[in-house]
Amino acid sequence: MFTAGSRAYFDALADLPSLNPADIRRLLTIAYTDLLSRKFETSVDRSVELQSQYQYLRRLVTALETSILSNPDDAPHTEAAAFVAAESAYLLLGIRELHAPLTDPTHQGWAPPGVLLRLETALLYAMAAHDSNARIVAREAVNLTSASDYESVEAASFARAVLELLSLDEPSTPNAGSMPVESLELRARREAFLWFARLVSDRNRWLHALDGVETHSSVLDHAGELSGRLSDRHPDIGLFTRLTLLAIESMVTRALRQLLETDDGQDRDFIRSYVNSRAIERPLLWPPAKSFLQRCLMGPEVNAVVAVPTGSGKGFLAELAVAHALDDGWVAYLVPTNALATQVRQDLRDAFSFSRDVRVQAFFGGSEYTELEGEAADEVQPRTIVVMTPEKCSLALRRSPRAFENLSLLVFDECHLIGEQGARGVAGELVVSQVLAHASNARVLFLSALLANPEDLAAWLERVTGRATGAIASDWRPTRTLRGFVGLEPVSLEANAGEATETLISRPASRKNERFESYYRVLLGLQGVWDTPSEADYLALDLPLEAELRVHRELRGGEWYYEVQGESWVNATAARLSQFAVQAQERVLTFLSRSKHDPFVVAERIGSLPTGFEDEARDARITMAHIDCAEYELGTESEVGNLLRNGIGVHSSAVLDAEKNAGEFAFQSGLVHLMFATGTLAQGLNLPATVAITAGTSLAGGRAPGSQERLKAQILNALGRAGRAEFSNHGLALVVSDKPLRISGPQDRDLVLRRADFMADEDTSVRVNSRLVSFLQLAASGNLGALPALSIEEMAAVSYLPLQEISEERDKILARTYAAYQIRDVMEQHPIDEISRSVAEAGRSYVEGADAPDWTREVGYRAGLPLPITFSIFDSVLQARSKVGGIRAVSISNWIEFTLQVMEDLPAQIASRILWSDNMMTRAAGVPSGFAFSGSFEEERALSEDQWHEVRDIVEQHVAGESISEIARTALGLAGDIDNRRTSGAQPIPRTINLLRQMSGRLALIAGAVAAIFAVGQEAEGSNWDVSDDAFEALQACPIALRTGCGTFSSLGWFRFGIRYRRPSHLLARAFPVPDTLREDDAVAEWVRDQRRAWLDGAPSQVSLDEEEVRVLEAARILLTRR
Amino acid sequence: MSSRPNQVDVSVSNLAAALRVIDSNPSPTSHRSVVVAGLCSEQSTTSLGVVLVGFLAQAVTLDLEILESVGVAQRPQAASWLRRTVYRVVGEDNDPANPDNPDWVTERNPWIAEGLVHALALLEKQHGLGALPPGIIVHTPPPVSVKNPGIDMLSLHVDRVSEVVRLCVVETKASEDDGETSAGRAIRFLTSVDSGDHELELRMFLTGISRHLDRDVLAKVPEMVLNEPIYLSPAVAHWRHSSFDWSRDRRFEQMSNSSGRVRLLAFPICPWTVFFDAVAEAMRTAIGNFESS
Repeated sequence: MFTAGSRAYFDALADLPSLNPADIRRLLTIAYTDLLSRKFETSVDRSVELQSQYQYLRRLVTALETSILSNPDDAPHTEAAAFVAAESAYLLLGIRELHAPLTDPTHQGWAPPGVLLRLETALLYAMAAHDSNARIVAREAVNLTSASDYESVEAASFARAVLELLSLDEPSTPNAGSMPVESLELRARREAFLWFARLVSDRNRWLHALDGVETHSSVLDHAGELSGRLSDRHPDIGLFTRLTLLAIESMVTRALRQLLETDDGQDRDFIRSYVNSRAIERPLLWPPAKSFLQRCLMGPEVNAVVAVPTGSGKGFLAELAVAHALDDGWVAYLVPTNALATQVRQDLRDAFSFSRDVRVQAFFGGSEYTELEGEAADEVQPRTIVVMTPEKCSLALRRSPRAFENLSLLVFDECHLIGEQGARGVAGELVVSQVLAHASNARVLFLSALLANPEDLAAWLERVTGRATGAIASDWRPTRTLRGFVGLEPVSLEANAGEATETLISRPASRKNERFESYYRVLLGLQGVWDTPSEADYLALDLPLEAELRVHRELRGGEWYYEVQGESWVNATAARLSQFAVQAQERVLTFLSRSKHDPFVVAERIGSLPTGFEDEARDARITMAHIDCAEYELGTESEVGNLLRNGIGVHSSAVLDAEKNAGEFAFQSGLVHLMFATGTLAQGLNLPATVAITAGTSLAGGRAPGSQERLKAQILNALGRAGRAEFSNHGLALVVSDKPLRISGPQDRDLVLRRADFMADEDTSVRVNSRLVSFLQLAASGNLGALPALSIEEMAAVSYLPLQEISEERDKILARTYAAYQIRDVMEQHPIDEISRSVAEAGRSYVEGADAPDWTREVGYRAGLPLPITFSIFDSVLQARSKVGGIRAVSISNWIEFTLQVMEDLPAQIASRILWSDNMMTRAAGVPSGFAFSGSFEEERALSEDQWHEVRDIVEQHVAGESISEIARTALGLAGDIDNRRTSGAQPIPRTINLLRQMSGRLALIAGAVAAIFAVGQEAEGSNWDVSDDAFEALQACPIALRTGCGTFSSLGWFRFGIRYRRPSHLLARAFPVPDTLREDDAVAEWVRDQRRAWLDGAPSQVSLDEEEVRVLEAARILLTRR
Repeated sequence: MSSRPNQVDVSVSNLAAALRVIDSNPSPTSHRSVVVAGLCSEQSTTSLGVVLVGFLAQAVTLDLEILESVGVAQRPQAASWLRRTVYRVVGEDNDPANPDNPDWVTERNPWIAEGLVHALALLEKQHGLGALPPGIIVHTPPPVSVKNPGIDMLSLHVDRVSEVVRLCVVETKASEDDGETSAGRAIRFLTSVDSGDHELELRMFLTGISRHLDRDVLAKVPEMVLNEPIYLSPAVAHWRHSSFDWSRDRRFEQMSNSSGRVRLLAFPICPWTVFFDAVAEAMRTAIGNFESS
């Protein structure tokens, strides 16, 4: 269960010659396994066998603590010894308390034994820089006891002060008892406790930045001397005061306040305000953040590439960089998904809520072009943080590259994205290159939990920025995760399979299957990742839980062949294990990678679990408010909501945003203890679990290029989800392979690795290389070729680059790519302008062949579309314009109609490519199963007029705010009640959700291209493309309207500035319509925000509402006020 | 106030001269048994009284230093604190009916018996008496209160030849007429220490003494904790004429190598109350000597 980072602690104890690091790791893991085994109520009693091992661990704690106190100035040794001692002490504590709580009423120590041992353990964790572990243990101690359990009021004060320090809680004021003191001994003890309580409280105040007074070193020296005297006279106090002083010494080096020491000649008032505000909640830095602070913010390095495992605090590390950079300009914060953008925006808003000067904006959605203000960063004020996907950043760069000149920091979270196959990786790389081209003074911070080669990316950044760049690769994790592989126990398997085979033999030939059950066996790695070959490093644990299996027979060549098979092995095992773990009081996150519908299938298998739902409680109200909004959107009952009420969360692309939010909130707040999710959830979102189960070792669409890499990344990320900091120090990650495997014992380790090689990998094991290398090589050699022949990645590259004949911008971008760094030898032989011209040439030759005006190359660039598609859209726009007899459109719906006309006029093969190809960075998980009508876009056939009518109807219903059920009736030709289940993609709700998601995103791209054609056309040809101001505003709103499903300025305004749920936005637009006179974005935003405030304060709806609508508005109110 | 080291040293020498350590013959096979004889002589009780007050005076001095360190001055009251401390453990007089005195059976006598073990540790350190395992370099002082849960005495030993460092734990019981039960209870307690139930106390002791140890000894302590078995000494004070077979074999459940590391100490005392009264009186008398210096 130890990662490379924590393994190093053991290896650092080499000065204790009788310690064997591997033995101790094995012992500690066995102890954790024993704890699990007892929690899971396995029948195996190993207490006698383990007794001597636990005695050794007890002595180990004493030995290590003694070694720390004998040589407290050796910080690395202290950290390592404290970590190993803390782990040993904590696991032993758990094992002892499984038998009986350590609350001995006859005990007469200064605190109850359970508290003393926890205090000691927590102090050791703090000395080892594992503050979140210390916090967990300290909070356990707080919950164990009351003040009357202590020797004296002063002893309780001291314990409280230390526990507050370790819990990272604000300090209270220590108090003295009022009882007269009969003995000198007690008097000395009480006064010593009180003195130390005050000292600890003072230091805690300092850490929380509650006052600026430094504790003089003379006071700490005096404390050290006093602690020594106490060790002589009252060793029970002496031990704790000495440990406390060492913990404080360690914590001070990780204080957030150190940020104040960054001296770069700036006005540090802002930083001081940030520290004063933030230190209340986050007074300490975790080691990776400390390292970043010392190397990059206080040290010589300017940029950084940070590769740290999942859950190691990279978000807070980025926050430090942001706080440091906001004095100098604005910050672009790139994240891979909209969901993560939402979370990061909220986190940053919370972090910087102390300052009215700081604005945190997020730009959601795809890369569709629009000139609508507020949809991309155009003119960004200083002290603004813009959170966005690389696609949205690309849009901003295409619209207003000059805005980036004032950028002070570029953060790229999950930066391994640039190595991803397909268009997304290319987009990410080009966006970074383009930002670097424009923001020559900006610092750069790359972050990833999977990156194996941060030094390569750091060397790239150093080369293109000309400034020192640190590669901060840390294996440090605040939690330990035990990895196990789930298979079958062979004895029960053979016996029961034999019996089932006998039964089957006796049955008629028509009977092909006989069901039976057999116990699960988990093979556990006792060192950490499964990279050690010794059998001693693996342990088989039998669970008191049976798998559903069957004996299957087939007649071949006149003979019966019998085979044991899993009965829906992956899903059934996921269901049984998950339920089992929840019943053992674990918080379980189960990943099902094979299908987005599997979470529903598996959840239905379970039925219901105990929940923390109390309808009137705040968390339940918020959860159900999301569900109320989802049900309004659906027009039927939400299955996600039903499952949540049954104690199960589900999270996949088959659910609505409102349902995702409900599930995430319910899981985070502990209302439900089980979440089934697809692998995409593994990325970024913070959902704390003690057990993570990865069920299935293949991926939906698993043969697509890059899918194996994606799967590995997803699984490693999922494995890292167990044992989230501040929730649990240890976690269990279980893997269920696609087919059952019989596990005899540790000797089967190689067999398992053949099925799941990632078991031997650390989290950070994905090497990132540029996807543009071959593109640049081709360009350098002059062999780029014609556009239509380019690969997806090459086409994407061309569409993200300006294609004028001579473009300094393009030269700069290309020169700054990671690819250019990776093939620097080649690049040195070819001037960049030569390579750049080669790219332009590819575009030019296509333009000439397409008979389009030269300015359409700019359209393609702005719209982010490949030139062949851009030209086709341009042709269709011309046709559509002539068909409707000129542009008279003034409303969004007019432009939607125009866009559909453009779509209809596109050549069938282009329409098909736009709708279903991967070229648009949409990364569709799969092609929808089609409309009710017979035609299929996949077949690259033109749709009939009737079919286009159906498309129009669906789009109109969507943007008019009809429910998904209603749209399903139109799209699928259904009548009556709509089946609300989601266990298959063929069911109406998931089918319609998928259809709308695909269609709206892609239509938005077309509408964006139309908007770009009119915008660039006006610039190039003037009146030929002129439309009225109102029409232009509506045109620019059209792409967003199509994507969001809000087809009026009013509903769109409520969606963008009110509540980001489609149908509730339509409802709010009816209840509080945005005045027609308002068109400018800022004015709409201000009006909606004012009106929202008025509504939340009690202003009534302007129209009468039915019962359901009233309920939805109440739900919206709960979500907006979080009450 | 000073702890009058000279006076204590003299008393330690006198006590060493008055006591004899006798090995059981034949030896039990399960452990080693020794008797500390000569306890009841006047020389013994008087010297023991001074040594015990010396321990208490040292504790008072340290407590006063602690109070001074935290800004609460108590020095002027030092002498009276010593007197109060002595009275708290052995009483103002030898009248068991005096309500201000501790209970003889459950408090005073066990405290003196425990103090005797600490005095033996001092004797071992300075004179090599042979009652406790050899090579003591540091040991815990006796408690200053009659209620003292946990381990009675811990000491650290360094073998003069092999330089191996060992830990010793002593558990004392005082019983006028039931030495067997006392020995059983002491052994059970020590077995639990050996199995790790009192690790926190061991850590308190070891970390407490760490700053007083030479670097080479200190460097050996972690190794000792991991690899060296602990010396275990049940110590039983009993009426000399009660039935207590100190030389018989005993069972030490699940304890490895008990013969090499368990040393049963027997303190035969006669007459029982006379001995404890004498030590208590000697302590009260000794207070004045410490007060006056």
